[in-house]
Amino acid sequence: MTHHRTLRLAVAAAVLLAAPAHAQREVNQRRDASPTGRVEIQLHAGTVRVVGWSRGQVQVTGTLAGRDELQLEGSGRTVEVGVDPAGRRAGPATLEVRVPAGSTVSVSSGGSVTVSGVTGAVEAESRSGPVTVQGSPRTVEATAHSGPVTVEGRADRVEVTAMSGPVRIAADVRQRVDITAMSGPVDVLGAVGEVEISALSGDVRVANATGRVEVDGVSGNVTVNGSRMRGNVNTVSGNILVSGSLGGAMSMETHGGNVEWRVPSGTSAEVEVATFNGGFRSDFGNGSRESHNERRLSIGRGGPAVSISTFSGDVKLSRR
Amino acid sequence: MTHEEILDRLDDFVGGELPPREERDVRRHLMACEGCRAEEQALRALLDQAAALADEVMPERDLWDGIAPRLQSRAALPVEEAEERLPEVRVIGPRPARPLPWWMLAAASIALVITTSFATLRFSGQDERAPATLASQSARPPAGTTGGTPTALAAFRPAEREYEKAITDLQAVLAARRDRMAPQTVATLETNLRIIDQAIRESRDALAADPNSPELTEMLSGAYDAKLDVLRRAVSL
Repeated sequence: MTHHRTLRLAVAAAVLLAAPAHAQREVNQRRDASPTGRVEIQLHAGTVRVVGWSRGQVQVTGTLAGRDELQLEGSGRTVEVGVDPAGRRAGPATLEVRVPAGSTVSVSSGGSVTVSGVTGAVEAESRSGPVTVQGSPRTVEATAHSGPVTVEGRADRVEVTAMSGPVRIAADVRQRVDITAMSGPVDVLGAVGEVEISALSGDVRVANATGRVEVDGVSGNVTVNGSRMRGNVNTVSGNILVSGSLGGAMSMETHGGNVEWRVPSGTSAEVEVATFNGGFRSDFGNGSRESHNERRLSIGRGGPAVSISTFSGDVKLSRR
Repeated sequence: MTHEEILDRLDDFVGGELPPREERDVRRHLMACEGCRAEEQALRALLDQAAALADEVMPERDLWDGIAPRLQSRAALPVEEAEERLPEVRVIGPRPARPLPWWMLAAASIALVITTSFATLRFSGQDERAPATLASQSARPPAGTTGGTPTALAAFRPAEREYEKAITDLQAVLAARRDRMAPQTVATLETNLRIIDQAIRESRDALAADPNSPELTEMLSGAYDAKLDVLRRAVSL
C-alpha cells in the first residue's frame, strides 16, 4: 500500500514539474526597424503570420511552448525573429509578426506560413504546412515541402516550389511566374507576363497568359488560355488544350495525349503538325502532307510558326 | 524561343550558365540552325583561345611561389572548410569562371554530340538543302544503315548513348538521395519516369520500324529530354 502511495506521489510530482513544458506562454515584444529593411523569421515548429503595417517597428505577439524564449534581435536594417528552445528543440509556436510594409521578409517555419500586406520582397517556406502570400509584394519566392502554395493579389515576379501540394496563383504577375511542382495541380489564374511551369503529375492550368509560356509536364493535362502567346507547351501522357491568339512561335508536344488549339478569329499562323498514330481534324482545311507523319497548313495570311506534335494522340484545330 | 533570343543566349549557353530549360531550347534550336551552330562553334573556339591565353599570362615564378603553397594547402582541406577560409573578395569586372556542375558538363557534351549527329542526319539525304558532296565524305557508314546511307536512327545513336549515360549518372545521384526524399515524392517520381520510359520505348520502336523519319527522331529526342529534365529537377530538390 505504502509502495502505491509513493508511486502516486512521484507521478503527481512528475506531472506538476512537466506541466510548464507543455503550457503556452504569451509573448508581446517590439523592436524599431527600418521601413525598408529586412526581417528574418525562423520557427522550428508552429504557425507564423506576417502582416505589413505602417509603423517603423517589428512587433511579435502570440504564444510559445513551455519555457521557450522569443528571440527578437537586431534593429534598423535587419531584424531577426526566432525561438530559443528550452530543450533540444523549440515547441510549436503561434506567432503574429507585424513588420514595416516595405520590408523584405524571409520567413520559414515547420507549419503554416502566411504573409500579407508586405510590399517588399517575400521569401516564404514551410516544411510541413501551407504557404500563403497575399497583397502586393514586389516579388514572391515560396517553397512548400508538403503543403499547398497560394499567392493572391499582384506581384512583379513569383517563384514557387511545391513538393506535393497544389499551387494556386490568383495574382496578376507583371513580369514572370516560375513554378516547379511535383505532384499537385498548378493553377495560374491571374494575368501573367511570362510563365514557366514544370510539373510532374498534376494538371496545369494557365488562365490568362499574355506573353511567353513554357510548360513542361509529364502525366498531367495542360490547359493554356491567353493572348499574344508564344513559347512551348510539352507533356508526355497528358492532353494539351491551348486557346488564344499568338504573339510569336509556339509549339505543343505530347507523346500519348491529344492536342487541341482553339484558334480565335483573325489569327494568322503557319502550322506544322506531326503525328505518328494520331488523327487530325481541322476547321481550317487539311493542308498539305509533307510526309506520312507530317502536314502543313496556313491559317489566315500566314504568320507565327506553330508546331504541333503527338505520337499517338489526336490533333484538333478548331475555331474559337 | 525566336532566333534572336537564341543568339542572345548563346554566350550563356556556351558558358554553361543557362537554366536547364533554356539550355534545352537552345540545344534544340542548334540542331536545326546551321547559322547558330556556326556562331556557337565560333564562341567555343574563342573560349578555347582565351583559355590558352590565360596559360600564357601566368604570373612570374617569384609571385607564383607565394601563391601556390596557399592554394595547395587549401586544396588539401575539405571543401566546406576551404570555402570558409576563402577571404571575401570583391571582383570588379567580368565574373570569374566557376566550375560547371557535372550534369551541366554532361548536358553540354550531349549538346555537342546531338548537334554533330543531327548534322550527320542533315547531310545524309534527309535535308535536300545539304550539299550532296558532304554525304560522301563519311568514310565508314555507321551500323544500322540502309544501302550504305546512314539512317536517322543510326545518326541519332551517338546522341542516344550520351542521353543514356547522363541518365544513368543522374539516376545514381538520385538513388543515393532516395532515403532523404518523402515516400510520396519517390512514388510520384517513379510513376512519371515509367511513363516517360514507355514513351521512349514506343518512339524508339516506331523509329526502328521507320528509321528515316526525322519526326520520330525528334519525338524520341523529346522523350529523352523529358526524362533528363525530370531527373535533373529531382536531384536538385
